[in-house]
Amino acid sequence: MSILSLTLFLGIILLTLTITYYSSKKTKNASDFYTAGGGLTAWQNGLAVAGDFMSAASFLGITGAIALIGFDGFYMSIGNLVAFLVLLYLVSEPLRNLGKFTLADMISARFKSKKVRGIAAANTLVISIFYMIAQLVGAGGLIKLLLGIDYWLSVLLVGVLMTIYVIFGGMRATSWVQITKAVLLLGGSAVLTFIVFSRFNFNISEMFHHVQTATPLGKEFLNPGNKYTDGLDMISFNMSLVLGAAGLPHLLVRFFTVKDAATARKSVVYSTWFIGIFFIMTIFLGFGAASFVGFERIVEANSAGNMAAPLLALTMGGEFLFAFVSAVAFATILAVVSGLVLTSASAFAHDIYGEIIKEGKITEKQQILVARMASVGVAVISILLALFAQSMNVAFLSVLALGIAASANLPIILCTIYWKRFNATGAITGMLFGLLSSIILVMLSPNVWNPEPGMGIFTGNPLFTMSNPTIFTVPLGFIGAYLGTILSKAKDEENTFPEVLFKSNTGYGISSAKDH
Amino acid sequence: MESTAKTGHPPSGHDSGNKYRQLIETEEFKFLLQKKKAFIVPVTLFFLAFYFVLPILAAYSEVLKGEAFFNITWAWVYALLQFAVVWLGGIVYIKKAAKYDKLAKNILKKYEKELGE
Repeated sequence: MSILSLTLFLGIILLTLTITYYSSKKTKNASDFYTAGGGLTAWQNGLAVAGDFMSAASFLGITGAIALIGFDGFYMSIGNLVAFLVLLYLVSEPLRNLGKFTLADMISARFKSKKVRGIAAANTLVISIFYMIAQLVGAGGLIKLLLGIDYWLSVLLVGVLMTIYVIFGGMRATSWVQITKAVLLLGGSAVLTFIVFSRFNFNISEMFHHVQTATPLGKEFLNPGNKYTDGLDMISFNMSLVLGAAGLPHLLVRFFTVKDAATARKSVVYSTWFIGIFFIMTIFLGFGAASFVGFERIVEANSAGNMAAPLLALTMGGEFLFAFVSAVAFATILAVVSGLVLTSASAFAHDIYGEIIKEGKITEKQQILVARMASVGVAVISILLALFAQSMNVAFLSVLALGIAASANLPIILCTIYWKRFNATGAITGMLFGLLSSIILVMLSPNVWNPEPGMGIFTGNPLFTMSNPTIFTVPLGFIGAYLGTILSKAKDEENTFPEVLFKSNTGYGISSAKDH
Repeated sequence: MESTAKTGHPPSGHDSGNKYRQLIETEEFKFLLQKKKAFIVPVTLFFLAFYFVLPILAAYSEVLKGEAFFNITWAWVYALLQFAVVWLGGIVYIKKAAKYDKLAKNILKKYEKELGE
């Protein structure tokens, strides 16, 4: 590890700890801890939301994927971006109008049942922890590559930092770390994009021409079909991208950090610009890596292509740019995992402990204390699991997290807001159908079962041959919600739909920082 | 607060349920909902359909494989059109939503008394 890299990494750590220090002084009550007091502006939240999507997986992963497989590497960008329209048109405003701290709050605005809240909170925990383990395992490997320190030390370093941000600075620190990283990442990508584009004489046509001879794929580089050969599986994968985002708890809680629905919607629109521009830059980075780093060097460094972006920086801008891009990748990992810790801790402390066990009879001080303890607990569990999973191929965890979000959360969110007859039983069966079908099908899939030893978790032929089951599990989530509703005798006993409908459309009675 | 909790009243009593039942039946609220529905439903169906055409064409046809212009293939052109749809969809939504905000505000103002009960 060079002195330069070390300095930049320490710089990132120092910067984020400073943010945490100032945030901690402002974190006094539960609303501060869970939602930064609802005081973020649309710009700030737009950057933070964009930051959740500009993860290491998208910065390093998409760049590498485009460099290695051409067009097929770009699906993730398109799907993630279009997902924001689903969020904007169907979810973000009602969510902000009905919810307070967590996704379960919003569903509980309609169903006061403890079971509904409990299952919703459990889904949040499962999704966030799976996602976090996938991120931590990736982070360990990456930091090892970038800095040359051991896997266990990398995981521990990231784990300890994320815990510090969350327990001391809560959502305020988490958001500002995310915002800072988003700006750094956009800036770093812009510099790289500019250099790559200048090498092509600022000519798009030349870039698309050159890349046709730069990789072993030849002209096929620009065409779909280099990776995804099973049509149904690919469509299913796209479905999880476009529908999953609107059910990801760590993204949804971001909408509670703004004061009202109008700000929530503006922040989504801002983030579509930040992310859209970022994803367009990934084309330049991918093409640049394919052209100037070369297929063999990328694969040699990491077979998944994760080193394409840092190597591009090294080739184009030398040691400094390499160190800078690596440090930004590190910041990216830190920001995303701390959001996940906070979301899981909220689900446990606010929903399970505060609302279910204590039935809402809990003081501000107790809330924060429990939330902090839960953050430590969640972090420790995730770090331990990530340490065990070092040599495992954990790709299935991200598939699972996004799949559960699309099939268990999204159907319930939509039915809660828009379906008059929907009842508590339907909410429970819908969530369980989506959750269980996702878990079962992924567990039987090629992500987990591979005939070649060491490639999957288990050696053997998969019973379910698609790597992404979302095309089946989303309908199953809706069918579960429908069947549970029509087969249960009880109508929506409390009949809260008129209230939910009225509030979600007018913002009446919105819970803001001033209420508590 | 304590005493009502002990007598076992549900958190939102019958009166408050009635209040909202009446409010959602008002002309103004129905108008707001109808306006929103007429915009949100078709646009959502459009962008979802527009999105899924890409993987479907990629999987089951060759049309995305040819060059469109400037050495760029149709696959990239279609993909970048999706970016345009998202950005445009955002701008249009913000404009429309400002109108819904006004309608919602008027409802809250007009039925202030009913809400305050």
